[in-house]
Amino acid sequence: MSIRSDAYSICKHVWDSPSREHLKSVVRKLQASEFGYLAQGQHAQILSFLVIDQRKPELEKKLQLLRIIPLDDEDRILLSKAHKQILQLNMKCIAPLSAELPQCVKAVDPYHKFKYKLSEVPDGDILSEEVLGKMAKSFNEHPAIKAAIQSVKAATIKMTEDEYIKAVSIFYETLIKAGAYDAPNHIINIMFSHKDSLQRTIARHITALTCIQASLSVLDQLIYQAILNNKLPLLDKNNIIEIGQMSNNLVGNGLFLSYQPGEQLSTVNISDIVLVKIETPGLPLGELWQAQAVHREYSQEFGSCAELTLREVDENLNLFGHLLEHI
Amino acid sequence: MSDVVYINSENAAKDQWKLLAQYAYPKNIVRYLQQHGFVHLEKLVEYIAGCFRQSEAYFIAAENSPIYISPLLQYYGAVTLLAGASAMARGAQLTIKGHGMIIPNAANIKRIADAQIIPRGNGALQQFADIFSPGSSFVNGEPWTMEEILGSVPDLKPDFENCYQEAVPYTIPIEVVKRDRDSLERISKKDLTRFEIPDDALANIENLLHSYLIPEITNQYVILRRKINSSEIGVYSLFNRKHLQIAHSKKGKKLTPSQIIIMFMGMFSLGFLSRYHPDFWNPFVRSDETGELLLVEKFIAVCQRYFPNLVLNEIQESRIQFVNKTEGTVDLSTPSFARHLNENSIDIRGVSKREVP
Repeated sequence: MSIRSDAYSICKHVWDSPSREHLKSVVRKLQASEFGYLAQGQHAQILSFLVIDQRKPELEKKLQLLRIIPLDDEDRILLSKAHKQILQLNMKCIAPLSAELPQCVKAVDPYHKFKYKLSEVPDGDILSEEVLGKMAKSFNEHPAIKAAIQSVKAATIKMTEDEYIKAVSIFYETLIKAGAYDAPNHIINIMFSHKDSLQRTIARHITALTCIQASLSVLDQLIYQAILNNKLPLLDKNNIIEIGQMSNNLVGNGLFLSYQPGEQLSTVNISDIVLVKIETPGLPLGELWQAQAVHREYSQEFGSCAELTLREVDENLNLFGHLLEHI
Repeated sequence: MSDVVYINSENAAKDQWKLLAQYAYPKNIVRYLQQHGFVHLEKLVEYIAGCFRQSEAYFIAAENSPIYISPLLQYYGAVTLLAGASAMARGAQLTIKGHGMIIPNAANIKRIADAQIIPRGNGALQQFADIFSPGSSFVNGEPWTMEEILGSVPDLKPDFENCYQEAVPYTIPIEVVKRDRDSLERISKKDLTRFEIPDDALANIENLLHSYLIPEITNQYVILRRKINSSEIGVYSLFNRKHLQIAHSKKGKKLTPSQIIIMFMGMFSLGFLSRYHPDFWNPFVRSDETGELLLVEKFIAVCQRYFPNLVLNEIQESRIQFVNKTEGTVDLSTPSFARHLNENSIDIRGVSKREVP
């Protein structure tokens, strides 16, 4: 069993949870409104809607033509309960890290950049205590958690919470900005330094924390998608137009493909987790990927086509698995 | 057969026979048979050589004969060519008894389009179809009409639709669009207006959904994108225009014969009518008032030029396209080359074309 397969299992539990249908209809309703348009850019799953709700006055002032319908109290509570449970899951997943390095907790929180204060609500019910515990136990074995703890011991790294937040954010942004097909140059340079050098150990530490954040983010995204759908978006021989660039680099695996939107799969948004099932003789492709960039076009002359830049999600739900392994 | 071989020629009709004529020489035949793992019996080699020689002679005779007899000569040329090519494909002479088709209503037709061709037994038609149109298993006794045959030849599409105002064609022209980032195929909706229900036309294209993603319909086009790793379907006209073929429904069975077999059936029909029914053929040729003669003449011309080419394609397992282009010029001034240079950071600004040796 891997973290990935355990994540698949909890998604199945989400389908049967008591408030799933209600939650799904609320999110779908919001997605179809201005809320959806604004929330999509936040890439923060359920929290996106709560953030937009909180920023409503400011956004309406800034974007004068936009009218954001206020969230019903009932809907706000429902969303808050679900998000609260995601946060609880995330905290349990990183329990060994928070026990050893409490100052890192905020840095690995995928939602740390949002200044959103969750109101006092009862616990949600999309995940039972047992399921939540099982997932957390699996995630506790994440190699990045072990690497983060070991590296800090090896180099006696002393950083404040803010320094951790800043370091992980910058590192994460650097990896994302380099794109799915490339490893950033200065990270490659660090790879050439001695394995026990201070520089390399610090890099390993920050890499490990970044990987934890990335894996939590993927886990949360999978749960969010499970609330909305019973299947992951599928890209296969029935909708893929072309497989373009494939990259196996020091950070992870990247892939460019184009597909024809249709009944099987209409829209893929940035951060969505997708399944790719296609035979590429001589160069087998992984199945689980996250959309990093999306380009869509439609015309009467050429029909519709969507291009995706994807990053592979490994068995630890990690987007940067190669980096963790090699650094 | 998607590999295209371009051959420069000023006279494609002549040059295709030069390429076919190589199989009139025993040494070339022996080499071909050996390459395909066949034993080369002297009798077989002579049979093949004779077929190719005779076929060319028949086609030349047809070209130089009036339309009163040219269809028959052309049909003889086609039979002989297919017999020779079949012997090469199978490594043995086929045992053929009869044409494998009859025209039962020849004495009672008013239009060429109404002539019925009924496949019969395991004659030449089915035996040639087994080799040149795999999967086309003709239904004994189930009639085909010349309207169906003429409507199945890509090169005749506009003439066919012009001649038979109500008729439905069995071929749909495709536009292949190549762009910087991708390529796609599309059907102009104008080309589907003859079909009562355009979706049915698409549904009757065999293997459409094996080869293409689900067609996307816009206001102007039906967009077709090839499935990844799929085999190509469709046929090409003399001028390299891709067409999709609509299956013929025969007793609930879908049949999409290749162009070779479609032309073979058409040539048989015209040869039979001109030879055995001069009471119909003579007045038709002399005083047709409907314009059908123009279509028939075009069919004969297309067969004269393209049928040997199609057989050559089968023998050489590639699509041979005759072109007429200047040789020996490497054009580096195209935008794609400039783009390539740009991508590779080579600055070519400041150099005029004239200064490039």
